[in-house]
Amino acid sequence: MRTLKNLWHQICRDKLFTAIYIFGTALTLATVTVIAVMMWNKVAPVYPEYQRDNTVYVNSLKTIEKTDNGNMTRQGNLGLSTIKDFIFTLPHHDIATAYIDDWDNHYAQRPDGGRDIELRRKPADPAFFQLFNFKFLAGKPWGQAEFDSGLRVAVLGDRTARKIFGATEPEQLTGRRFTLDFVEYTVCGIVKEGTPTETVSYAGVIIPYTSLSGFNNETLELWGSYCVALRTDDKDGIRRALKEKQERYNSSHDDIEISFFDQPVDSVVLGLSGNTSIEGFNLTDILLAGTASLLVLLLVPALNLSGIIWGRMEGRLPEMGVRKAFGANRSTLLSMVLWENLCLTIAGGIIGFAAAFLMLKFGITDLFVTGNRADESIVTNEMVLSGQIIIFIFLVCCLLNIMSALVPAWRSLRKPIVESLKEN
Amino acid sequence: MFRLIFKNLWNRRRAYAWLFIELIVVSALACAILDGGLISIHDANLPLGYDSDRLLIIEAGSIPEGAVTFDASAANSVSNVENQLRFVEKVKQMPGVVMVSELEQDGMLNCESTSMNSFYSGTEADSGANGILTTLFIPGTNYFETYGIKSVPGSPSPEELSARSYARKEFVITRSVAELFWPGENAVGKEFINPRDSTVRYPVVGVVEDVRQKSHIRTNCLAFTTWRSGIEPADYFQVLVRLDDTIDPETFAAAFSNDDARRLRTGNFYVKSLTPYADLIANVENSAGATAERNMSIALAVFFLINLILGISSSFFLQTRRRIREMGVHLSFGATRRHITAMLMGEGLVMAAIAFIIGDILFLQWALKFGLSTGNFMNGICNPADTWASHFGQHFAILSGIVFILVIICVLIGTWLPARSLSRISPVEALRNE
Repeated sequence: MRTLKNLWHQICRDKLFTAIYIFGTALTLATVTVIAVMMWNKVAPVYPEYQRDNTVYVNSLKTIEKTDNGNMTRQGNLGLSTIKDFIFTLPHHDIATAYIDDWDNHYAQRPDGGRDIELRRKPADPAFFQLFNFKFLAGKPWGQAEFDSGLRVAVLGDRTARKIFGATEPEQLTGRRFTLDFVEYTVCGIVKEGTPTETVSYAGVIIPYTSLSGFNNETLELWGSYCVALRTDDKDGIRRALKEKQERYNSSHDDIEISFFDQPVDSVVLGLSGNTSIEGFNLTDILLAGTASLLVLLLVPALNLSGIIWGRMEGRLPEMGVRKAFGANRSTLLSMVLWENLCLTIAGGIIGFAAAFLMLKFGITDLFVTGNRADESIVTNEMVLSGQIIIFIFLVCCLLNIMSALVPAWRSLRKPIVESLKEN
Repeated sequence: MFRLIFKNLWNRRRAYAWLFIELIVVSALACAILDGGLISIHDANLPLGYDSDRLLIIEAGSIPEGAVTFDASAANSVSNVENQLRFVEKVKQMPGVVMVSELEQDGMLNCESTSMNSFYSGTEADSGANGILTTLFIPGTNYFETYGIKSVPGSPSPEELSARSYARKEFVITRSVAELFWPGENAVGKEFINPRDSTVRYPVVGVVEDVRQKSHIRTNCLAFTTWRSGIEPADYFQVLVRLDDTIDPETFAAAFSNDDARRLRTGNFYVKSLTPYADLIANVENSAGATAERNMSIALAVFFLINLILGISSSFFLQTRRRIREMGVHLSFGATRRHITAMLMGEGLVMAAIAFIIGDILFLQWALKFGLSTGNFMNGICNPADTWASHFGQHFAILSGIVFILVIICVLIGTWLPARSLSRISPVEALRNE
């Protein structure tokens, strides 16, 4: 309480410096928050990928074929036969889904004859809806029967449904028909649409891959267009099992060698590296680099704030002298100064966090994400207002406080009482 | 004035210590951070070698079997090729269209995929593995002239290069490739050699002016080749369209209606999308991360520079309180407000200049050890365009110059307001101040 009273007196006395202090802190914390949210979304369990912690991914295969002209190396996505022979038969998982990571442009034709809608299409199998926790606003997912029959049914995201059908209630859309690349599909369900940052699960329309003509055409053995995601409690076990299958295949084939790299990889590897074919991924190195980057980012604002605190401490020397004369020791005064500055830093942090929230909602991440420009990045409240982000920002406030206030406060409190009292 | 400025700075060195350290740190950091962004902007603004301002791409898709409007009679390979040609002809007949060319898949300049091959000439100038970006085209489709790619003297014209029939593995190369392998010679008629079998040769049939395959990759080394003799059956293809000089591609794309798309329907082919070339280039840069890197670099530099302005403002505002009497003495001896303002701003500028030199030296040590930014430079690729960005000395000097100007601007902004407020105090008030 006393700290807050002192703080209030300081604010009233030095309004300008307090304003600069809080603005500088807010700017720093806003920047840190935006970067933190962007990084967090790559690995955090957010809608609909709430099971990210237990999900692993296999997207790539490399083959080295021995030919007369030397070795020919190929790398790409998996064929269905590869998935069935190698991946689906792995132990240690309870859900496995195959899908096509479709980067081609696809267009839905609007019933009112307006311009075609560009959208992201996800051909998948029924397990896709078990692994990813889509919230159905109407209808239900297509099931095994529709998948086996290759029926042209589709689950639409709510934003995509609005673009195609206009502002219609989701319940009225189930059973409606639309054309996707001039092929007619029937809507069987409407889900709350995710965000394009969730690259594995995001789509405007989810269809059975068996509804595509030629879905099973494999012009090259082992290769195709498919990716796999699996839910597992034993990531190391499943990785070892795939390695063993790989070794068994290679030892029984002289003319070709296959490699699944270090797959299956978890969501941290996929989110931070952007692909599953990375080898030797080291999370410690990334965390160290991130920490170093954070310290560099905080260094200049800390120097700024140090300068302001230094100036204020010089003005408070008589006050400190009086307190020392009444028995306050250096550590008591230091903690008083640190607590006062922490309150200001937190005030700046709250303003910065609010500013970052608004910037994120207005799409600032569009400037910094890699990908198709047609995919606008949508940041949800869940991504920003997560406990981990708030705790992280609080810790950054504390770190910034220590970096900026400790040295100037310590130096000024070293002055003897008499000198402090003489200061005018 | 300068003597007074230096004297004031020396007398207040303790008070300005934090600010001085901050200026050093910001100078060094700004150089390091802006380097990547600067090179990215530089690379993106290098000439592409072709005229993209009047180009757009029409993507044609094929209605799949089973769709309601699928035309079974158009599904055979002969009809497929005929319909492709008719589609392209219809595009050419559209108002404002000057020239069209059907593109090979991934044969578009600035497409997302990249193809690279190693070339060997066996000459003294050939120093070993030279990775050259390769682009495919379809002969007989006006490829070079639609793009606006020009030939060098001594090489067949673009029309001749587009129209001729090609044997497998014949190449049209850019001027930089020719200079790399056969410096000072006419490369037309020369041959690349298969490194595994020297009897297998790949002739160079034409040399064109430098072209960049991607807007965010600096190299001008590019080779054009083809695997086919002409149009072949396809489910999907792209048509490059050159518009008249008076027509803006954005306006053309915006005005392209569903009726226009229906008119272009040929067999099972339909218009999937119509995109101005500038938008495609921006999309590829975004997908490759070049835009994000550039924006992040600029955003971080702006962040540090705003912090610098705040730091300078707060330090100088603090000084205004402590130097009121001093300014009163100056004013009473005849100094004008302009003198006071200039003196205070001069202190900031001198301090910034000295701190920048120190910060720049620190950054130089970093640059000598780790190198300066090379942009989106693919490993193994040869001979990026020869500009200031490829020479350490010029690169460092230009980067330092830009950062110096930015730091000076920030210091001027940060010192102006405190200097002005201090200069407005009356001499009596100032001298009375204790």
